[in-house]
Amino acid sequence: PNCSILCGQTVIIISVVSSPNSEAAVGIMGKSRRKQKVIPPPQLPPDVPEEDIEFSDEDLKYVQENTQYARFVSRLDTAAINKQCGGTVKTVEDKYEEERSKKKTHQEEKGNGEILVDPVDVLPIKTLDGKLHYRTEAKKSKLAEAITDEAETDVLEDENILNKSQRRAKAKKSKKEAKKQDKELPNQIAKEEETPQAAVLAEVKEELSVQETLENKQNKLAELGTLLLSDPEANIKSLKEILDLCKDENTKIVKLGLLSLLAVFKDIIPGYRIRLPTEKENEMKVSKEVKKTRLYESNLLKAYKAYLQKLIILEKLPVYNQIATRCICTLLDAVPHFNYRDNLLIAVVGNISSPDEVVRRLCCSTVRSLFSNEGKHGGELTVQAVRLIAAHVKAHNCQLHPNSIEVFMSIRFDEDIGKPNKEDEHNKKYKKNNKRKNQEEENQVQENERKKSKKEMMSKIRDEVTADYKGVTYEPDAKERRKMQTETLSAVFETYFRVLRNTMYTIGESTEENPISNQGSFGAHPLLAPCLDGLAKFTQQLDLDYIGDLMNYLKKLASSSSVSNNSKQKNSKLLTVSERLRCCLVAFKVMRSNLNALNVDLQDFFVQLYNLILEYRPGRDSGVVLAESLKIMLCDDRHQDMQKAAAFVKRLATFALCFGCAESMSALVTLKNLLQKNVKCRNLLENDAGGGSVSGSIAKYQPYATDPNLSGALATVLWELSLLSKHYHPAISTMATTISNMNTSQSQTFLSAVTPQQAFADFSLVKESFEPKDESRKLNIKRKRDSLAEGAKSVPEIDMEKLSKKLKENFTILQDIKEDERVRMELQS
Amino acid sequence: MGKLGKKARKFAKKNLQSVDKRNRKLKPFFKKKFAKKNGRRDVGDEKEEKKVEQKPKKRFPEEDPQDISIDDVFGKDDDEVHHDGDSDSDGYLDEDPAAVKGAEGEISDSKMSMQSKASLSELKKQRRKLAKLNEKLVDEADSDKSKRKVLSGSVLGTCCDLVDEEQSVQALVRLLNWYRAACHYGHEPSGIASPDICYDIEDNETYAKVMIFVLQKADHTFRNILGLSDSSNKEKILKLKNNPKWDSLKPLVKSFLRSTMYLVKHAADSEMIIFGVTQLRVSIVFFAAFPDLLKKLIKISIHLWVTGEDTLSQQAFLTLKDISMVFNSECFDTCLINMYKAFLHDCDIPKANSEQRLLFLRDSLVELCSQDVQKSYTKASVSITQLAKLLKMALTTKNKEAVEKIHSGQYTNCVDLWVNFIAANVQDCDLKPLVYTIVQVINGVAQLIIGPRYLLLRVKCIQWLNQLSRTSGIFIPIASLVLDMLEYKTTNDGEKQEQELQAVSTVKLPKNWLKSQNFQEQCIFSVIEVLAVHFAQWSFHISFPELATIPIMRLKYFYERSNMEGLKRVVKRFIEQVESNIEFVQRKRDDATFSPNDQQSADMFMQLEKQNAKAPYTQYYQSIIDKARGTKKKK
Repeated sequence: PNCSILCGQTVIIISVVSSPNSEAAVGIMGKSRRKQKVIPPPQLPPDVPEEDIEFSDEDLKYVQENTQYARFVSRLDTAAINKQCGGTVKTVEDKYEEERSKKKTHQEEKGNGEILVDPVDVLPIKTLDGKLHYRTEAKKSKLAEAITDEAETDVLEDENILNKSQRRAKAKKSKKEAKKQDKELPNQIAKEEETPQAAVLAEVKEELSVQETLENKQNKLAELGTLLLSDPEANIKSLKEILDLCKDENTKIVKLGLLSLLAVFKDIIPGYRIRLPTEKENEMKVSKEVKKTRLYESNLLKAYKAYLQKLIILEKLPVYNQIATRCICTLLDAVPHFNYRDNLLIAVVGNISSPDEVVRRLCCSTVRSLFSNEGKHGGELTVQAVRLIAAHVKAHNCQLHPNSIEVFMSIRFDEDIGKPNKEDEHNKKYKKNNKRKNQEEENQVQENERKKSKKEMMSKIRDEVTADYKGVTYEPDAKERRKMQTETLSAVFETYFRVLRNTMYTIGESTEENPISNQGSFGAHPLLAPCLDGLAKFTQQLDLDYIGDLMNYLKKLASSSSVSNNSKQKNSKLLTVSERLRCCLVAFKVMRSNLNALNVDLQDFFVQLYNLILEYRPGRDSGVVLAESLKIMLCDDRHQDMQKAAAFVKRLATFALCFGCAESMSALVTLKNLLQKNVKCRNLLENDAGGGSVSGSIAKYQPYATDPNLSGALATVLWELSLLSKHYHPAISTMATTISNMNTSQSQTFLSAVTPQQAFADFSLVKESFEPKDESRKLNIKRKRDSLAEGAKSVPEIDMEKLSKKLKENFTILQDIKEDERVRMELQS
Repeated sequence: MGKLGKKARKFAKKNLQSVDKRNRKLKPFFKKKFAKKNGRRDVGDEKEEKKVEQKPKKRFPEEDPQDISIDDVFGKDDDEVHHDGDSDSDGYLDEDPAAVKGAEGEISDSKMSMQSKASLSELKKQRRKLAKLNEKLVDEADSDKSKRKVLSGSVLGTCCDLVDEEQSVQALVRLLNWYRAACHYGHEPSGIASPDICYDIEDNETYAKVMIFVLQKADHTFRNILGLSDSSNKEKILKLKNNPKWDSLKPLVKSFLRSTMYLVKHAADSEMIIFGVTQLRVSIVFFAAFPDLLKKLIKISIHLWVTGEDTLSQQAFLTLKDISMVFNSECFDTCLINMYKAFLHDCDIPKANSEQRLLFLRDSLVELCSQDVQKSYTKASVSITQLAKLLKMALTTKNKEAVEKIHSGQYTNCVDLWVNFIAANVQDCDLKPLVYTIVQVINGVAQLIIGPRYLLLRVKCIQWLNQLSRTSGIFIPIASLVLDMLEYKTTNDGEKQEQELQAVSTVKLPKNWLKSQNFQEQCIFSVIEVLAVHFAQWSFHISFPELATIPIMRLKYFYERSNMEGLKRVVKRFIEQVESNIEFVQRKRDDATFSPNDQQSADMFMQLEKQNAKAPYTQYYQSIIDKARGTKKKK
């Protein structure tokens, strides 16, 4: 292993693994390799019993001296490794591998060229002309198996990614292939026979030649793939062959080729990034193994590059769009650490808003998984992906599918990233220094000059290795991660703000603009909803400086439609009620998460809510959002002035009169909550002669007022409750009665635990059980009705003469028929 | 089919009825072989068969929307209804040998009945067997002549006189025999089928006379002989068992009823049927003694009720109603369930003027239900629960099949039926739970099926709610449902959801209507109509101003944006009227001294004004309602 140290960590691992001379290294490095290669379960190192492993003195010393190198061993998550690599879990591929190897040995035993008869194939095949054939072609059956293997593995892999329809299509495809093979078989056998029908067969053959070549290619693909999987290092050249096959004109072959390559690459790509050796390194003398490894790696890389280029080209063609995207996504998901990942990412983000739903969903889920599994790539890809999406949004002027921004919700921002780590690092450094000092002291005592120089060289090399390692590994330190996170955040918020600004812009412009021209296929403001959701979620990460701007935006958006009230005749660009409600909601959430530290006036949002309540329409607007706004803006608000609270109370009561039980209930719950908090508002429950003493400046209630403070609600009485207590829904009627009795009942302290959202969900019809409340109850009939309705005795007028005439006619007819029958009967007998 | 086979079958039929039943269920084809044997049952039984076959499929109602069927909720009762309706004898009556020439007394009633029922080939065998058995007793050559009885006008005349004046039982027996022959005339091969006795009718004059005479006089005669008054109930009939006269008269009554039912079932002319039905209705009490016949009668009447013409259908219904009144305890359920099923079954069959027919059917069914609210209540709640189940499935899955089922004629008619039932009875009985459930169901339907194409269904839903609200005095908010319809005008061809749910349905409007101005007018008129009904109900309620707030706001908004002058005028007028109403209530309200929690005073508020109902807006509402009703009739 000495020489391999020179070539950097990467090579060390490989060479060590490939030369199992030093068992200790195998033990350590093998494990480390396992750790790195997470996705395809790596092959277990040869099972060597613990006691058989002998450590050479040199190795021991090395480890002892450089404990920090070995520290990771103690930190290894053995449970996870066992789970990943333990013998109990067998992937499908493993099984096939096993089977295949078994078969191979079996075949070898029998000798090549011998008849290979699978138990399944023992049955003869009857051809069309009625002759029986026993299958004897070893090669053919093997090939057929291989290809089904391939197809099946493909199918299995696909299943993770594909949606149902595609899976079905895939299954159909593989089935078709199998069928075709079956069909083919007798033909070929017949051909081999060289019977008199040869002439006929020749024709058939011609017709089938196209299919046959296809068949052959498929077989070849399968063969190559199998070879590659069984021994990648020896057969690395096959990659190129498959790639060549992918240039075929037949789309099916190309697709199969791409999928096979995907399977192969997924399996053989190592758990580290390959760095091609520099010229200087190439000049150096290296061992045979290292050379072999280098060659292998460079070949692999080249092939991979070619494959990716192919994919990226094909991805743009509509025929291959889905399949290429699937390959790209799978690769990015499986090997996000490997070379060329940036290119993959670009391709994925480019498709994130694809009109094809399958493609879009694939891309989105890939990006999501990148965000949620940062450990695989150390977070670098997160930053890049977010940046790319931001650029994408910018380029498309926010006319993208909502999914493309929704993925941001999967990003996790760690607040205290690095803080404890920093301390750790500090300690580590300190310790390290100490150790080094100690070592040096010791060494000074013990060692001679030669050793000293060697030591120096060693440390130099070590530094180099560490630097290299850092460059290659994907465990960035805390500082870097913090930096990356900041970048991610800024990109995310940039996107969000862009969306907000764009929405504002379109609303402002919309009066002059031709609404059709800019109307994207995703609706008027496709990105607004996910953007608002995201803002609400990440608001804590937002810099306080920006919050002011954000609030301004939200304010403008929330009030958007009331501004341009007159000119919106055919303007579809306006925000919907739900969107505006969401804006208000986000504003409140932002304020609350910042602990109301900002001095922003939320009054405008209340005004908006006050008006939006009237504009709400159950089918069109989301009742859930409304209920949430009621909860957050009204129920959770601590101190409200009386005028405003009264206005809301009145409006909610009016609202409850006109809408379904879910909406009514959530409104009533809010109303009750408001009345509980604002004792003075309970004046609304009393009919004070003369308009009440507390009524403000406005003496008369204005039901259509747009400003809660100007509605004069305190001057009115909640007469709605009187009607609501007649509501058909028992819960609402009892609620209304309770509210109207709030003033008089003594138990004023009880607080309703139900939130408006809860009420809305409970009373929505989807949840309704439709069980009559108490079925067993006996009916109490309030009034006995007259037992018999006398009028029922009506007898229709029947004209007897007419009737008798009809009867006569009827009789005559019947008689005739009878006579006829009789005559016929007599004739017969 | 040898003798043994036949004997075995006979034995099985008598003693192993459950086996027989199962056989019928399992092997419908097997049954068909024997169909000839009881030709009369054919039609009914085949229907039965189908129902039985379908049943096992419908055992798992939760799984599949297809499997929940509204009309099958009471399925289990169905089996027992019609079985063995014909098991006992139906033959000619035994005529007294002393009074009538001929000596066929030995041949028993039951044997004859078997003969009459048996098919041709079997009859021959039977005859041979009988001949052997009775060789010593009966001289075949002689009897053949004497058995053939021809009814001539003169004989009939004397018979009639005898019955009329002396209530002679013997004459009545003869008459009834001829009557039976007349009823069956042409329907059974009399010449060969019953060789032992053969009643023949001379000419059409006698035919008509015997029919009319028996139908008109039989009931009266029976009552006279038994000494019953016209208004005697079924208990009296059941008590008759102790009456010695009854023993002799029972077969006569039975024969009469049976023959009449045969007539009703088989006659071709509707007037004849009507006549038969009315006469049957008169003597309905007698059915108390013959439960099997009663079941058959119910079946026939229901068939006539559903399929018959106006008068016939009505008469059939009256019969049913009488049955359910007279035999309340046993037959009410049967009647109700079967009528309910027939009604729902009929909903799906498109017919000419089906709307009126369905209305009649619905009203008559409601009338029947109102006879016994307690019993109908349980039925209604079962049925409504079923409706709710279907709806819930549709709401949760949005499955196309399920949704289609909701806007099918069957579903809506079923809702309609129960709404009317509740509306008819809610004032007298406490039907609150039913009201609640049905309102939720209707709301669910309105919520599930949206879009301009379902305007009619939406309007229907709101009308139901209004009807329920008006009759029960409960507040049911409809504003949100109504105001959605105002928006319909702005929607253009962007309705993709509707395209998916394309199905032939009366509730759904053709697509090309949607853009027409007519459609928009229709929308607005419907809005105004249902709102007027809603407001008219609450126009004197103390919270009317608040109730009208949001609708008025929306209407104003519509008024500002609409550019159709005709509609604008209508809307404007409506707004003005409602506003004057608001103002009026507000003025009155200012003088009120009670608080909202004083429910009693609130209920008393403005009751006086309501009684007078002279306010202009009241009249306005009324005019709109009347107008809407008028246009509906025109259609």
